[in-house]
Parts: sequence; C-alpha cells; structure tokens
Amino acid sequence: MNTVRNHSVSLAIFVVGLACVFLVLTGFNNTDVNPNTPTKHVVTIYQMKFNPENISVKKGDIVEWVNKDFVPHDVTEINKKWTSKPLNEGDTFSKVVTKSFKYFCSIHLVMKGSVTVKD
Amino acid sequence: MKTKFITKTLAILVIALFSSVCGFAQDTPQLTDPEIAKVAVVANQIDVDYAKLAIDRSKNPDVREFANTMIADHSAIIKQAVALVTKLGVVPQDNAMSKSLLQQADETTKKLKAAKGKAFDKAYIDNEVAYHKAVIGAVKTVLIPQSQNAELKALLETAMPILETHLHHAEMAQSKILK
Ligand SMILES: [Cu+2]
Repeated sequence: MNTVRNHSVSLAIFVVGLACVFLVLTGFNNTDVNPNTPTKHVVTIYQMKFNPENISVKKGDIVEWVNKDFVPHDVTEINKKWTSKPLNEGDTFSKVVTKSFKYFCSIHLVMKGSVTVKD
Repeated sequence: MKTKFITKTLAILVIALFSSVCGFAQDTPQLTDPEIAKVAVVANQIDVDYAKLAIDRSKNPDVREFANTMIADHSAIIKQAVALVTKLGVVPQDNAMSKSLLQQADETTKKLKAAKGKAFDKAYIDNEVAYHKAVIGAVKTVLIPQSQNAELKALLETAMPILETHLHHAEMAQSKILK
C-alpha cells in the first residue's frame, strides 16, 4: 500500500517535472526570438544634423545612417579609428555596434553624435 | 488754426513716410526671382573660387580641409539652383547685388593673392568668417523674403543651415590658426 502510494507520488512528480521542462523549453523558444535578434536603428542626417544625435542601443544592434541632405556627409569615429567615407544624398552606412562611441562628420566638423551601448 | 495744424502734421507724416520708403529702397534692394537666382549662383561660385585659391596656396591641413568642404557644399548648392531654374525655365539675371558681390570678390581675391604662407591662411579664414556672415544676412533678410517662387524660397531656406555650419566651422579654424 505504502509502496504503491510512493510510486504514484513519484510518477506524479515525474509527470509534473516533465511538463515543467516542456513549458520552460517552449517558453524559451518563444521569447528567444526577440532578445537575441539585433534591432536596426536609423539615424537620419538632415539639415546638417544627426537625428537623433545621441542614441542608446543593445550590444550587437545595427545602426544605419542615411544622408537626406544634398551636401555630402560622413560618419567618422571621434578619434578617426574608422570612417564611412563620404555619403551623397540617399547613401547609407551601417555598423554593428559592439561598444559605445562618439562620432562626427569629418566634412563638417561641428556635426557630432554618439552611440551608447546600454546593458 | 486747426486746419493749419492738420496740414502740418500731414506734411510731416508724408515726408517721414517718403524718406523711410527711400531709405528702405536704398538699404534693401528689391529683386525679382531671376535676379535672386543669379545672386545665389554668384555668391556660391565666389566661395568655390576662394576655396580653390586656398587649396592652391595653403599648406595648413585645417584650412585645406575647410576649403574642400566649401568646394563640395557650394558646388552642391549651385547644382540644386541650376536644376531648379532649368526646371522653372528661369534665366538668372544680372543685377546690382550680383554685380557688387563680384566686384567685392575681385578686390578680396587680389588681397588674398598678395598674402603668403600663414598670412594667407589668416586672410582666407578671416574672409570666410566675414563672407559667410554677410551671405547669411543677405539670404535671411533679402533673398528669402523676396522670393516669389515657393521652390526657390525653399532652396534658400535649405541653404541656411549649410551656411551656418560653414560659419561655425570657419570660426573654429580661425581660432585654431590664431594659436
Ligand atoms: Cu557633414
């Protein structure tokens, strides 16, 4: 009697445990899509400004700059570690963000912006 | 007595009005759209020419960088202006303002050509600061308000932030040269 009860209790625990594992797995599967897929952030270059000037992104996100002015602009890291090369009207430049950085337009030194990685 | 007073007041008013109109006409030229288009093209071309002179004469990297920006941007504005007048079927027309701009540019170019080395860099950048201030003033107070065509007005309005960015850039280069 006692053994039978013990058996059914073990079985019940096993079944519940299996259900939990299943739920956790499927649950993971569902939420998995959003946090790990990089988001694309667009910075518009318009009327001699980066819009928005400062943005926060997650590590691995993509930032895309689009030049909407008829004068050329570029996106250059503040210490000139990298540059987009001049972008004409309609041109775009994308970058996968791995760390925070400040940047400017090397054609118009007064144009500045920043990308911050938030955790 | 009363009539005399009114006549006198009226006379003063008329004189005041007349002189203010004359004063206005003297200080603010009245331009048609074809004349505004000419001023726009001439004003931009003058700055491209100053910049070409700077590329030719200066060894200072800040000055050369600034001059390259002037060539790129002012050429882009000219391209837009030419495309617009072509589309509108407007022929840019010489006028007092465009002629005076060219005459002043002639004199400035002579002065710039006479300066060598650092003196040239300083003269060029000082002139860029002054020239952009003058052009910004003219675009804001004469060209934009007097434009009849909406697209011409819009193009001039688009040029404003470009000119203001150039002025700040020139002022930055100016303070760097002084050091
Ligand atoms: Cu720029």
